[in-house]
Amino acid sequence: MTGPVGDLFREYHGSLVRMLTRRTGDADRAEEIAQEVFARAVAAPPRNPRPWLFAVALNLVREEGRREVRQHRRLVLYRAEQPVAFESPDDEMDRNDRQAAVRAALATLSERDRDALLLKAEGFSYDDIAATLGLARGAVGTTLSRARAKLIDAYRAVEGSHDIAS
Amino acid sequence: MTSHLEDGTIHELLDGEIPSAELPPIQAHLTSCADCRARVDAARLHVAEADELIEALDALDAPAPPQIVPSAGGVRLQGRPWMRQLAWAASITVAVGAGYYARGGVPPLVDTAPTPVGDTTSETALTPAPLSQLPVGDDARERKASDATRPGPVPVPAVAPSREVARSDAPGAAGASTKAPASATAETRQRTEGDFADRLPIDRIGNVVALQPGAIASPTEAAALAPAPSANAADRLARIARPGTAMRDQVASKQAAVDTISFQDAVRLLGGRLRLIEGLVPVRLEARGREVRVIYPLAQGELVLAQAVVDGVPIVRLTAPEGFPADSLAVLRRKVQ
Repeated sequence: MTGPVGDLFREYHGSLVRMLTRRTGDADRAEEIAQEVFARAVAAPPRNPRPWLFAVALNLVREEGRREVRQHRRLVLYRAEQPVAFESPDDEMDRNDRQAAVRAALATLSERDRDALLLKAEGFSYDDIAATLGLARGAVGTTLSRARAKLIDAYRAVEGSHDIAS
Repeated sequence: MTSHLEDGTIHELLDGEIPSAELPPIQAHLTSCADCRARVDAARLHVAEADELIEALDALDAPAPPQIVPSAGGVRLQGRPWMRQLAWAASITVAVGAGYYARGGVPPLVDTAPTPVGDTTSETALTPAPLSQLPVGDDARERKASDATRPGPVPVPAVAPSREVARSDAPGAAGASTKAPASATAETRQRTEGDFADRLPIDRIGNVVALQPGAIASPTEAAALAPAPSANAADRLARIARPGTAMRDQVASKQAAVDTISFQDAVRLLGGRLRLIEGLVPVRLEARGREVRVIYPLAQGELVLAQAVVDGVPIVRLTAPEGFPADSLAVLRRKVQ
C-alpha cells in the first residue's frame, strides 16, 4: 500500500496544497488539511484518487468554515502568513492588495462556483470536476462560465471601490 | 446548428472539452455567426483573466506547479514545518505495516538518539511527536470522519486511521539529549570543518559550486564532481589546538555516536540526491541509519538539514537552535535545493 500512497503524494500533494492555499488563504492550514487528507488516503486508499483527495479536502475546508472560532484563527494566521520575501515594500503592497481583492472577489462566489474554478486551475478535466463536486458533466461548462464572469465582475467591483476610496 | 451557442458550450470549447465528433457543427455555426464568434472572443478573455486572478492568489512560497518527479528526485518538502514531515513519515510508516522496528532497523527520520554535538534544541525538535499530538490530529479527532470523507459522488470507505500507532516510544526521546559544552561543540566543528571542506567543491566566494539544483544526478556523477579528500586534511586536523584529555574523551565519545560521512556517501545513502541550502557551506555530513544530516555552523549552535528517503519519498526537514529567528528559518527552508 505504501507504494501507491507514495505515488499519490508525489503526484497530488503539491497541487492539493496549492488549491487549498488558494481556497483558504492560509498556507499552514492548507498543509494541515492536505496532511489529514493523505492520512485518510493511507487508511482507505481511494479508487479514483484525484477527485477523492480534492473532494475530501474541500469537505474539510467547508467543515472548518462553519466553525467561527477556527475562522477567526485562520484570519489571524493569514495575517501572520504574509510571505517573507525580498521585494520592495511597494511591490509587496501591490501584490497583497491584489491578493486581497481577488480573495474578496472569490468570496462572493457560491461554493460550487468557487471550487469549480479552483479545480479547473489545477488542471482538472470536466469529468474530474463533475466527479469531485457531484455535478452533471454537462453542467460544468455552464458553472465555469458563470464562475469566471462573476469572479471578474466582483474583482472589478472591489478594485473600483478601492480606487474610489483612495 | 442554427441556434446560438450556449455559454457553457463556449467555455467547454475554449477548455478543449468538446469531443472531436461534436466539433464540426459548432465550427460551422461559428463560421456563419458573428455574434457567437464575438462571444467566443470575449469568453476567451474571461478565461485568461480568471486564470490570472486565481494565480494571483499564490504567495511567493506557494507550492510549485505539479510535476512528475523522477523517483530519484522525489518531492521537495521544503518550507514546511518539521512536524508535518514527521507526520508524513509516520503516516507512511503506518501504511507500510511492517515498520522499521519490525525489521530491526532504525527509522530514518524518527531519530531519538541524543545529539552527539550541538545545541539540544535541535534534538528536541527532532524528537518525534506521536501523531496523536500533531497539529492536525487534535482537530481531526473532533471531526466526524465519515462526514469529511464523503466527497459527494465519489465512494468513500469509512475511515478510522489508527494514529496511535505512531512511534514515540523509542528510547532516548525528548530530554535524553546530552548537551555538549560550547567549547566542545566549537572544537568538534573545527576538527571536522577542514576535513569536510576539503571534500567539497567550493568556489572562491564559498559557494558549493557542484551542488546547484539538478547538478547531481547520481552517486557516480557526484563522485566525479567531488574532489578526493586532500592529503593534507589529516595535517590540518593535527594542527588544530588539542583539547584537554577530559574534553578530548568527551568529544571522541560523542563523535562515536554518529558517523561523519563523505559527500559521496551521503549522496549514495539518499539514492542519488543530496539537498543543501543554497549559498551556505556545510561544516560536515553525518549519517544516522538511513538519515543524512547536513550540518551548518551558526553562532548559537548548528543548523541541521536532515533528510532521508522513505519508501521512495524524500523527507527533508530543517531545524535550528533555540532563538534562531523563525522568519530566517523560513527563508532558509526556501533555499533548500
